[in-house]
Amino acid sequence: MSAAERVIRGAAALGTGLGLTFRTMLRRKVTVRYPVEKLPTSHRFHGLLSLPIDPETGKDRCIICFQCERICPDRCIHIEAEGKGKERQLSRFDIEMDKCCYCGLCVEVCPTEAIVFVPHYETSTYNRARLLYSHDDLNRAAPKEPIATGIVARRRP
Amino acid sequence: MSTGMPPAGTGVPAEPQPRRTQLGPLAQVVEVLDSLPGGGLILTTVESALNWGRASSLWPLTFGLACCAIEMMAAFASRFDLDRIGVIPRATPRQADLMIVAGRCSIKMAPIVRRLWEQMPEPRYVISMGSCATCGGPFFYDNYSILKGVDQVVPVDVYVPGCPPRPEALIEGILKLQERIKKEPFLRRQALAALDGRAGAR
Amino acid sequence: MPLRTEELLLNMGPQHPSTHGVLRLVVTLDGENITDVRPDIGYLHSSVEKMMEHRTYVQNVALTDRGMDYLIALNNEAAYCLAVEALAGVEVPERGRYLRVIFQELNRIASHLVWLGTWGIDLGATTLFLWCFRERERELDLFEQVTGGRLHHVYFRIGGVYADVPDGWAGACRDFLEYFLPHIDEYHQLLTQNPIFEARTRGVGVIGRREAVAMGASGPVARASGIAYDVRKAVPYEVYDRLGFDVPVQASGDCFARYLVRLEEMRQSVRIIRQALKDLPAGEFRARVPVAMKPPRGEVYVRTESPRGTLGMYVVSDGGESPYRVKIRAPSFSNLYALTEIMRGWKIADIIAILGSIDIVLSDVDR
Repeated sequence: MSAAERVIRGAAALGTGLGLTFRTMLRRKVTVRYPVEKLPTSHRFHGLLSLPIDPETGKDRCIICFQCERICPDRCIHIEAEGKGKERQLSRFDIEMDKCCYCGLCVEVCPTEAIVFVPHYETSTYNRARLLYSHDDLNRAAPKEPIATGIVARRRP
Repeated sequence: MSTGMPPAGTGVPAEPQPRRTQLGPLAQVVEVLDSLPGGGLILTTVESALNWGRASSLWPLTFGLACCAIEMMAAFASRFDLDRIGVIPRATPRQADLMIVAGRCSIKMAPIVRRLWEQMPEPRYVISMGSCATCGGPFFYDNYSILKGVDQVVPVDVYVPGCPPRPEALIEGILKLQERIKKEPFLRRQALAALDGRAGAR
Repeated sequence: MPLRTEELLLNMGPQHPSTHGVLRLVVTLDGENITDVRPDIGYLHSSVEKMMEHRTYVQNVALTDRGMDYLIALNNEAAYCLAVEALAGVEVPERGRYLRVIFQELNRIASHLVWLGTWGIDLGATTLFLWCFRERERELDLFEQVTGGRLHHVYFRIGGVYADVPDGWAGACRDFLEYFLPHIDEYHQLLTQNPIFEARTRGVGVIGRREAVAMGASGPVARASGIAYDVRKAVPYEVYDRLGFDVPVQASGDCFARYLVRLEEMRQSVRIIRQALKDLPAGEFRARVPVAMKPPRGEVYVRTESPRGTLGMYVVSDGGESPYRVKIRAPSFSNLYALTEIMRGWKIADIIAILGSIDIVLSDVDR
């Protein structure tokens, strides 16, 4: 291949690439301006684990069967119960959210759908100890720290 | 300037004094300004302007260890585009002021993480991204090779849980760090550290 | 007076933007020419094989995502589930098998997109990175609607899949494929004709046919060297024997050939997914398997075709609740071995191109 031919071929290829890039520039933008606008998560999204309160009974649906504690591959669920028979109730239901790998095995084995995923992912924290979610936190299914806005706070509509 | 050591030859240990490091010229100005009436106001205004600048241009070290690095890359890519909040990845620790430890850190890797952190200029921040970097996560039990939390080797400012966290979760962690940076006594830092008797602020 | 020259020992990594993780290469240089390359691995060793011996068969599915190659979580799960199913004699329902194939191929596309994007950055084509991740995000949305995860899914279970696809998902998947196919042509337009890209990849890092066989290379690396071997064709698993697809082969064995093979593989994956979506049977998607399953005493070795090559899974059972031993045949590990041989004699700038074209994932190498 002669030098001139190479130059022509190179220029043609460069033109094709740049033309494509310019055409893409005119297409619809894909960027999501995150803190201001948020993408909807799917209803199956593995966000935060929670024990939602049943509005009929005013309590969560946990029947203390220890299945989630047993299946958890990370051993991050800790359940303790006291009392016997019908009096039995939870004295401890903690999930170490920093150890959790969000695999969903606990949700799968739960016979009463007491433990579920909530599509909430904004859970970063300054202190690792706050990632230990107690029974109350899991019932509330809310983050322990307020959601950050950073320097984009003023741009919020 | 006192060195805190007993004078030679006396044999009697001197009263332990708080060690005072030499103040730089900037810190001296700050100290003088702080003592003047109305000086605090000027200082705080300047400080908030500086902090706004620092928080708006956090340059992280692209430091992918494992799975979370892919989500970190996704956060830098087109949909989430961290560049728009001033987070531009740098490939060398010398130019970075934020280290995102993304993924599990093995015991073999731990000294390197520490060295990279030491190579970063101050003030420096660390975000621990993902369960594995936060405390070992799925690799906490029955494991001989993974460090149980990267905060055993470097001080962590923000923990982002998730396995791996969504890119939005990482951005939220960075925003949280920005909030913290904005509240920092940046100018008084050196003076405060000198008064505390600690050399070098953190 | 002759100029005194010395060999230079250069450490690349473990923190290097182009080593795709935490690989350390100890490079011996003579001027700019490479005389020797010794990879130092183990910076991401996560002892996952040992951990699997301490967890039950069901729990281990979650570990295969993370401990092995993290870009191809679903392919790892498939290999593990196939091995345990063969051990326990579990029959997977038809629909479960088809869903598994669809998701494995989707994951293959996602993995190749990450490879193309990061390799593009290594070679100076930043646009490619942004474009590949743009397509990948749309694909991850599809994953999220079904499995709930973006990168780690824990979707396959021993005996099938965790949940059926939601209504309308198949249509969304077809839409994605429609959207995705023209983009492969765009990558071609950007790169294949580009003189800079050609200069950096064509004829660089050649692995000969014999060398590839001798060093145990597999997957796209082997296929780019003229070896038409694909486990999906040779030992069909799941329902691959019923689906029509071609195995792309290139003869030249250089970086450019590996690039072409992977781009063509994405096209073939699209073809497979379309067929599987069309043939997707109704009915059960999961066989009944007890949570505390105890496969009979025995051992099994299962081969699958992961995006990086032959992924083997060797599981030994002693009749208990957890495996007695699990050994993973990682494709990246063998391919990395091939890399050290082919780098000799090239310039230092070619390390990046060759390393990227092999497509190693350090989590897979170290396990």
